[in-house]
Amino acid sequence: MDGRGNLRRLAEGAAAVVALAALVAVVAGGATAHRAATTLTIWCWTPSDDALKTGDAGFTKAHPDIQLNYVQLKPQDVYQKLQLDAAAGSGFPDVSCIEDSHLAQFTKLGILADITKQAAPYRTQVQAYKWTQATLNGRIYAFPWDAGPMALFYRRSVFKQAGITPSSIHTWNDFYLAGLKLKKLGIPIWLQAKAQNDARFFEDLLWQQGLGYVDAQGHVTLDKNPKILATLEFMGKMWKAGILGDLGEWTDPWYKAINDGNAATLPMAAWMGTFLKSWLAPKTSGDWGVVPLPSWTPNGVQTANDGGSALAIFKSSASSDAAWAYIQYHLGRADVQARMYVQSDIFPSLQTAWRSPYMRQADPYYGGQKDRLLFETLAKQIPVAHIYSSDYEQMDSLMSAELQKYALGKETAQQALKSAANAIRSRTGRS
Amino acid sequence: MNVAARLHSDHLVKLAVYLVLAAVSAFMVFPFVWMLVSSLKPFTEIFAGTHFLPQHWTLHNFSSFFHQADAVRAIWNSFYIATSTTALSLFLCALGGYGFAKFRFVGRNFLFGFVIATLAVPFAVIVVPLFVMMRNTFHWVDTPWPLIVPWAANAFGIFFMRQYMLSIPDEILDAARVDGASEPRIFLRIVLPVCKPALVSLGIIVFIASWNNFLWPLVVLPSPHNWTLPLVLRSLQGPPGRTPYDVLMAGSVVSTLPLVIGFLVFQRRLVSGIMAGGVKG
Amino acid sequence: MGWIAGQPAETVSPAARPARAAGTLVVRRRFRRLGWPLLFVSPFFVLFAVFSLYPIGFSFWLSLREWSLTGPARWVGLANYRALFHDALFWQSMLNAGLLFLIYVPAMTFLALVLAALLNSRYVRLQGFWRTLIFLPYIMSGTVAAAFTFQLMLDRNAGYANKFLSLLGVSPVPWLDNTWWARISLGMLVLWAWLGYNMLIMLAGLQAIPPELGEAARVDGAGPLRIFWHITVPLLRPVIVFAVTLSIIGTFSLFTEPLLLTNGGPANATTTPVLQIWQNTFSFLRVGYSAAMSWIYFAVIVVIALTQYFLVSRRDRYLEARS
Repeated sequence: MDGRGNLRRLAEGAAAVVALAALVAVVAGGATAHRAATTLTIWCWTPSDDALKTGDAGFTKAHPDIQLNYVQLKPQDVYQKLQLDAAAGSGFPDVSCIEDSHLAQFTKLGILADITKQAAPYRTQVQAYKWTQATLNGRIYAFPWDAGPMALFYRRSVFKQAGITPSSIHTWNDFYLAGLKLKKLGIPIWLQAKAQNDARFFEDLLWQQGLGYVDAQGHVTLDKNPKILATLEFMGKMWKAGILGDLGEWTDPWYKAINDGNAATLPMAAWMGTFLKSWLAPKTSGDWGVVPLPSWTPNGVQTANDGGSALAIFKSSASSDAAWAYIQYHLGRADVQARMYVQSDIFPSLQTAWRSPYMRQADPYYGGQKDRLLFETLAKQIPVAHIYSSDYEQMDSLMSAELQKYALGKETAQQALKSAANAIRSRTGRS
Repeated sequence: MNVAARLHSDHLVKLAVYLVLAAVSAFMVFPFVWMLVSSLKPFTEIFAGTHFLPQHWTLHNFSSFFHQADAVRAIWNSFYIATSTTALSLFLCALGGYGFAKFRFVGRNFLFGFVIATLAVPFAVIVVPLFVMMRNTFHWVDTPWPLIVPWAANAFGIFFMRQYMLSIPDEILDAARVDGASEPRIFLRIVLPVCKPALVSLGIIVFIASWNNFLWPLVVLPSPHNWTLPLVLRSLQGPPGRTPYDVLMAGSVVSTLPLVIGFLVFQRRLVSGIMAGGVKG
Repeated sequence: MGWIAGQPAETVSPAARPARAAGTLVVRRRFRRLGWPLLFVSPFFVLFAVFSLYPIGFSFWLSLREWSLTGPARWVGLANYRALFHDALFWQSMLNAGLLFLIYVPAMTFLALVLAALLNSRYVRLQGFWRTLIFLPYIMSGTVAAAFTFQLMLDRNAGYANKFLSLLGVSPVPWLDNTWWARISLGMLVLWAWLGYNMLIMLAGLQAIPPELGEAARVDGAGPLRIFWHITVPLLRPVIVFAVTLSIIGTFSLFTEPLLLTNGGPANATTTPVLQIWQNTFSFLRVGYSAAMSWIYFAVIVVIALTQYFLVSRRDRYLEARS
């Protein structure tokens, strides 16, 4: 009968499709495995990947047999993929950029390769605090790359308009008063969103004072340290005075405000320079300057650390020797690091790179200022603080939620810190 | 009310009804149009948001999409996973639906009730242990099996097929039995062909669900060369700091187009299938 | 529940079973009555046992332990559950799901009912055409593409929603930047995707109502609205209950839309329970904790669904008693 014949044909067709699909999957899977022999897959974000690529020419000359395959991903996507891969047990690249803030989490997961032996000669050449997140139980699992020394970027024309001399801002109180002056012109001195605050600036302020979410033993100190309360209340004071623009970081209105001069200053890390120069505000070259971060006390620390990253090799990598050669060349050589800094404002934590003549060059973007010398001075001042840890992501997320409520006036600073601290304690099992 | 007045108010009501339908339909169709129109605009135009239609038509976003991601591979992955899932699912659900519809056996009503009750278990409860099983027990991570096998015989499909099969006249089946046909033969030669409309309807529903599936593939397909279209869309990059809407809209058009075409071709079957499933016995 | 399947002609009642001589015939018949159907329905039960039942048990086992997917799973008893009761973010997500339910379900039910009634009325020609258009978004339900399209449409600056509002003289709405508007936006996305589906279910229910009932009422002088409210809607109650139950499960299971449209924000306003379970599993690798979370989440859904069901069925019995 026709019906039966049609049905059989349909069934045969479906079976053929499924079989074909399975065959293709097997063949394709096999084909991919073959290709991976001398290619390094490197996950990185922009602009760090461009920075790394500046070292490729020299590296390829020295190692012509190693091919480099860069995969560009946003940092958040890198972490999500690595977390999923850690859960799944597969899918890792050979090398990945990992920010210091998230490094400890992945070290703890046990997916990174132990490079203690290879990295040993470099221990003294890199700033000491950079090894903290990369180390677990005395073994090293990542190689430090850039540091995030913070300074105060300011718009020269805006300051001139308001009659503020940048060198007069010594303390955060001076910053606050300058903000009041700028408010009269309708220009916010800095941008800090209320409902979308990501707690990053708050963390920077804590880092500057050597504070953190936890103390050296790992106990949560958010609600126990009066200095932390004072820091949060200072942010509240600025919000109340209306000197902070309410724009979420890394959104289009935020970029526009910075470009248009509707953010008089940017208390941010050295790497902000590369964003400003490349796509955020390239046309404002020459109108920017850099001074040290305002301090909490008249002669206090004038910087903090925000960000910083490392490169890690994965345990699952089949080309770990090639991967180490890559890292050694790109991160371990002073000349390569210095050139990377000049081309992309990614400040090296490799102290030998600081001797490079590049550091003494004037930067036209900052009106001819020798900003790199300033950052070098500041980098040496970076205090030890306990912001980054293996639970940073959770701590930051829980603190952001409370900070947003505080900014919106829904709770007091004390309540915010207490809620955040309790949530962190229960979520991370710390005391 | 005299005839003229009633006719007048009748017209007014008709107008109002059509207006409501048109407004709702416009709201339903607009996102598709927006997606298509945006996919043909360059990035700067999308962000300017000033004009509805593209000022400078471009296919660059599409070439960007195929260049940036392994899109052809993803299309193939989505396709063969959806097809396999649908084929297996149709067969097993028809089997189960037939068993519940056309046979009387001890505990039948209880077992069917149990099948329906399983619909209440949310995926979130089993996603973690299921994932662990896929990883440690079956070693099926990074393969299509976790997407095809677990729900091959699912409660909704069985309910759906049973609903349809209840209306198959028993005389046909009995006549075949009297003729000496075996049960598998009856199922394959008589029941399945008769159920073709329901199979088509259910097949479309299953295909769409499999094609659009996001959460589970995100978990079990870590390697990019195994990704399905939704996973590729999620991974698209664009200008720094900004959502890459240009490439995203192009990719969205690519991943939606097959479904739209299939929908327009099969919509009557799909609609009648859902309506039949909606009438509770 | 529906009609009972017909019996094969040669079934013999147990009492009249013939004795030993025809034993093999009996066995064969018994196998036919029992064996084949059980074989046919077995794939479901086998797959369910392996891929649902076992994971459910495993999930419960996990919820009593602390595990990060590598290394041993540590017994912690009820510690996860106790910690959950203090987990503000989790309860926020449950509240969000509840709010979303309240925003979305009444609107969806009402619209679906009205649209189905309109389509079913004598005023509308080309029923199929409208049905198709309104049902079209179903093919994009729960998709990444739909979430990104809506995100673009609702963007404060580049989105057409605000452009459209400005054409009407309305000031721009912070669709995705404000806690309440974000919830409404999420509800809008879900409504857009599922309205057609629910409308079809209602339409099917409407078409199953014999027209004589409406006719009789009309002859008695009742206006169309009265007929609708006092006759049609009560008769549709089972269909409405079905749609609402599906929506409860649906809104509480949202993952793709809140993840991509708003990433759970702003200020965790659109964080849903499944997002939390996901985050605790795959971001924080606290597998035991998230398993416990999924159980509490399941319990809450069951309570809500049962409450809804009993609230309605009592009314049903009342209706039956009156008729």
